[in-house]
Amino acid sequence: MKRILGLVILSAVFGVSGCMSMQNQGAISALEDLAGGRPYVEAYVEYRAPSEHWAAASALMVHVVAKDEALAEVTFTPDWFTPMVAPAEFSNRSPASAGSKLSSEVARDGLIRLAAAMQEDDASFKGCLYPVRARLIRDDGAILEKNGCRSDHGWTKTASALVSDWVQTKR
Amino acid sequence: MMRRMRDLNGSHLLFAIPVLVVLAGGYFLLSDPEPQRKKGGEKSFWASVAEVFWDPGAQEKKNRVKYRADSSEQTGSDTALLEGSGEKRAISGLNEDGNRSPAAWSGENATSGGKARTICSSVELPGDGPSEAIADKDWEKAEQEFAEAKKGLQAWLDKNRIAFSIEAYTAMQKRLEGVKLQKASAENEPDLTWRGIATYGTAGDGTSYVRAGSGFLKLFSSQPSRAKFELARVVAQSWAPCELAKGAGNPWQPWLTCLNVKEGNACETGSYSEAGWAVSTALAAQVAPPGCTIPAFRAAEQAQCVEKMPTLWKEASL
Repeated sequence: MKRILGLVILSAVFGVSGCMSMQNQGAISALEDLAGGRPYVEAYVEYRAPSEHWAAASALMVHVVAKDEALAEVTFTPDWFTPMVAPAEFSNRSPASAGSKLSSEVARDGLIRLAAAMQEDDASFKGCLYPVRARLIRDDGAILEKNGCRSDHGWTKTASALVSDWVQTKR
Repeated sequence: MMRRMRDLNGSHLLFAIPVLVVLAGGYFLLSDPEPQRKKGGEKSFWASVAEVFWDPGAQEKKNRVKYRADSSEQTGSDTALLEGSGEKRAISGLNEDGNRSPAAWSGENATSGGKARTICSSVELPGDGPSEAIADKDWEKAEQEFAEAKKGLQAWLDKNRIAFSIEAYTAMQKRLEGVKLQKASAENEPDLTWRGIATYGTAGDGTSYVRAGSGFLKLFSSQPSRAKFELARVVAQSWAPCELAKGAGNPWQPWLTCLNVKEGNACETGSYSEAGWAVSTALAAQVAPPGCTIPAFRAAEQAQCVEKMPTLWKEASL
C-alpha cells in the first residue's frame, strides 16, 4: 500500500513538472512560430529626434547583435555613457561600446518578445512628436520593421523595457 | 580803385580762398533746412562740417532715424484705429512686461547684457535607471517648476486671448489644466529613467502627461534656465497643432506659414509633426527663455515671425 502511494505521489510530481515545462515551452514555441521558427539575431531600435533647429534632445540608436557568440554586442549611438554636459561626473564609467553582460540567448528571447509585440500592435498615432523605429533581423536575413510613437503601451513600451535592460547590462 | 584792380595778379587770388570758405560756411550755418535736435546738446557748426567731410554716412544715418520715427508714428495710428473700433491688440506681446525682445532672438550679433548670445544645442544628462528612486526634494522642485511653467503659459494665453477663437482658447486652457507631471519608471517607460529628457504623451484614457526621469531633473541643478525652458516646452506640446486638431482646429497655421514650417500630411494617421516642436519651442522661449538663441529663430526673418506670433492670426482673419 505504501509502495503504491509512493508511486502515485512520484507520478504526480513528475506530471506537474512536465506540465509546467510544457506550458513554458508552448509560450516560447508560439513566439518562435510567429518568427517563422527562426530566431531574431540583430536589432536596431532608434529614438528619432526632431530637426536640430529646435535644439531638442539628440537621437538615440541602440544596436544589438546576438548571433552565435555567448555574449551579445550592445552599442549605443551616441555613446550613452559619455555625458553631453558634465564629463567629470562620469569619468570612471566604461565606454558604451565595450562588451556587455548580456547573453545572446537572453537577447534573442527579448527580440522575439519585441517582434511579437510589433506584429500584434496595431495602435495608430497622429502628429507624433517622439518617433520610435525598430528593425529586427532574423538569422535567415528576413527583416521586421515598424515605426511608431513613444508611449507607455504597445510595442514601443516593450522596446522601452528592452532598451532599459540593455543599458543595465552595460553598467 | 580801378587802378588797384588792374594791378591785381594771380597771387592776390590766394587771399580770396579763405574769404570764400568763410562765406560758404556762413551760408550752410544760416540756411540748414533741418534744425539740429537738442537731444544731448546742439551740434556745433564745425562738427557739421566735419561730419560732411569725414563721415559721409552721417546723412544716411540721419535718414534712417527719421524713418524709424515715422514708423512708430504709423504704429501709433494703427493702435488708435483699433481702439476706436473697440478692440485692443497686443502689437507685440514680447515687448511688454519685460519679456524677451526680438533683438535677443536674431542674428549672431544679438547681444544681451553686453555679451554675444550663444546658439542653443541639444542638452541631456544621463539618468540613474529604474532602480534608483528620485529624491523627494528633487521631485518637489520639479513639481514647483511644472506649476510655474503652466502658470507662465496660462498668462501668455490670457495676454494673447484676442488672437484665438473662443473655442480654441477654451480648448487650450482645458488642455493645459489637464496635463499632469509623472515620474518615469519601470512601469511606464523604463528607458526614460536612463534618459535626460522629459516627454509629453497621452494615456489610453485620454489624459495628458509630462513624464520625466532622474536625468532630466539633474538639469535643474546644472542649467536652471535651460531646464525651465525644456519643461515649459514639453508642457506647451499640449498645444501642438495635432493635439488641438482633436477638438479646436489649428490656430497656429498663420504663424507656421510665416515660419515656413510645412507638413504635407499633418495630423493624419501615422504622421509625425515638426510643427508641434516649432510651436512649443517658440512658446517656451517666450515664457522661460533658455539663455541662448534657438537655431530656428536665429535668422532675422524667423525672429520676426516669433515677435509677431500673436498678431498673425488677427491679420489672417482680416
